[in-house]
Amino acid sequence: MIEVIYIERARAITGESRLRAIAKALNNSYSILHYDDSCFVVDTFTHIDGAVSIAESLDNLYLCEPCQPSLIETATFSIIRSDKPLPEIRRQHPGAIQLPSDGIKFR
Amino acid sequence: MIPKSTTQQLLSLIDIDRIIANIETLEAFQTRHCGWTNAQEVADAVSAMFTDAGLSPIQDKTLDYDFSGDEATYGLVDIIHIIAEIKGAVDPTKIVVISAHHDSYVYGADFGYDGSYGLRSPGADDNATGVTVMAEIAKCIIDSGWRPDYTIRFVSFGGEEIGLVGSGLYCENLTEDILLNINLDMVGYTDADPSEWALELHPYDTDDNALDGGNSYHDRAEQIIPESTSLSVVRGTLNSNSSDSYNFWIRGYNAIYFEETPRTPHYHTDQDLSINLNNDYLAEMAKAVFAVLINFANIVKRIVPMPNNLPSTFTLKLSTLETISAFEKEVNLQAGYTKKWGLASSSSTTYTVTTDNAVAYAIATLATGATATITGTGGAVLDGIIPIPTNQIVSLACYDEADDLIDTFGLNEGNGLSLYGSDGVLTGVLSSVTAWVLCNANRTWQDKIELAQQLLAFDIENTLTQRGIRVDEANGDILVDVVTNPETFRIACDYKALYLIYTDLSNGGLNELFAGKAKKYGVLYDAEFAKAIQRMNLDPSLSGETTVYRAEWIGSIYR
Repeated sequence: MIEVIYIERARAITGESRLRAIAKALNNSYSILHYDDSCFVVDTFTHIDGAVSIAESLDNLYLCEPCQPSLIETATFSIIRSDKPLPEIRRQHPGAIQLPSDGIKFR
Repeated sequence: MIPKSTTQQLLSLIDIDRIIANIETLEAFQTRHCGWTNAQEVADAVSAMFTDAGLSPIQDKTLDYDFSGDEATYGLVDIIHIIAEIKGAVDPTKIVVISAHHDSYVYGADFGYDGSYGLRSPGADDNATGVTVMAEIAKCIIDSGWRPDYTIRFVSFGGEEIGLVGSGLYCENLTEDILLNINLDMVGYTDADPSEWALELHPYDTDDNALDGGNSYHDRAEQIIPESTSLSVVRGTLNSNSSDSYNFWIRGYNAIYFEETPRTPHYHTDQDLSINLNNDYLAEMAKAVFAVLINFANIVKRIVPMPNNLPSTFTLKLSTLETISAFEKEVNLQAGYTKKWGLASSSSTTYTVTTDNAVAYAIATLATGATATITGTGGAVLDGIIPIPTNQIVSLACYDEADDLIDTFGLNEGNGLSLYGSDGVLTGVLSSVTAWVLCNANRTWQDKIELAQQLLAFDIENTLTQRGIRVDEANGDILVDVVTNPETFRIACDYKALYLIYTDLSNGGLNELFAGKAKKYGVLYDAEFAKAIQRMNLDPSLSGETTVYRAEWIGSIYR
């Protein structure tokens, strides 16, 4: 399921304070799909305590610039759900892209 | 950090008129959408810009990529990337990728959208500006003759406007050591007063870009840009998914992304035209990007500038090393090879060997490997006949009656006439060997000379490669086998040969005298090689005057 962990909760879960360190720590347990300095969007098998579920799966989810309506909106991005194919979605949201199905890679 | 004066010297080469002319070329396509029929023509136009800049671009094509939606208007698209490099002079395996997308997009029927990817998306700002700034920077670097420490890869992406698909395909296969992606997307518009001009620099959170405290690429760029331009820096969207840099970031690479601020009101409209750009602002943007690239790829003035206008094919001629022969006498003398006693003949084909002591017999070995046994008479006297070809030198092994080896007498044993046992005791003297003569060793070092030539050719090839001249693999051997004008590299090659000779003579370093000489000639070689590279001039327009060194060539090179 796709869940959002807000930054304070993420700090509590990982015990890390810096953004990158939090991301890498979360990546040990979850597939991180996107993040900014307010929250982390993760793909997880089970509900994460303190996180907010926004979808059952990645299907039909798109990452785009902040907009409404959306499943989540931060200062830097939104995640929207749509049954339309990407070409159609991009008519309304030119910056829309598909979320990385295998998550962000950390080096 | 690169000195400000150095950066300014390079920035002064930027020609805004050339950038504008290239933008006009791209906007003249009307649309550059990858789903339109002109994707190849657009790619060729970008390739031509790269070529004009002095690069040797290749096209990375993904044709008929299925971008189908529910509507028949979408379907197969052609994604073509144009890629070229300036090789790093210090560590070419480390790469700074500078990128911009060349495809364009327009949305909404209000802007002439006709249900296809067709007309009226001129994309002057989005993103002809990024592509042409990139080409201009390449030209400035090449024209300057300066070189980066690290390889700079210029990538003009196709397929950005359909959801970063093109750069996604490209980044999927990256296995190289990418230091950083510097991405440009829309860098030519502002309506602000010049005193308030700014650019938006989007940061990405990566290991080397610790946003909460580290010395990140983004933070360093924030320092560099105001020092080199009239622009201030606005911190952009963290981990932005708005352009191709996103695809580098999600694969763990460092990235920064340049964008104008405020964003053009003509974004994705048919009014995204060059007449709506601010050329002065665009020039400042180009400087900002270039200044950052100079610092991150470490572009500095090299001792040897790379020549301009290289021909596409060349032949390099092998030098003939005549001067090494002048060293041979000295080398042989030092090595004890100059004169020695040996069994030799000057005219006749046989000689009598006689000894007056307890040498029962001797086995002579010719230089050819053939042997002849000489037996003595009376046990105490060796008296035999050895057939020796004219001017042939042999070695001799002497034995007593018990078949025990008394001693050997080879080529390089100075006193030659005395025989010693293994305990060092004198066992006999070859007192009446009529054929023992004082011979000149006349040893040549041809093997070392040939090896020196090969190594020198490798060094030349490596140096050219580091300076951005790549040898066509199909013709690489030609370059390896040959060197340029004999005068250019002759002394360097002699030093290399002497280095090899003395290394050989040093017996693995045990002979310190020769090891020292090897080291000395190694140092001399390095210095002379650098000078020779400087003298080497590959510019075919030169006249060939005696003071001008140039190469004749066949084979092909490219940058």
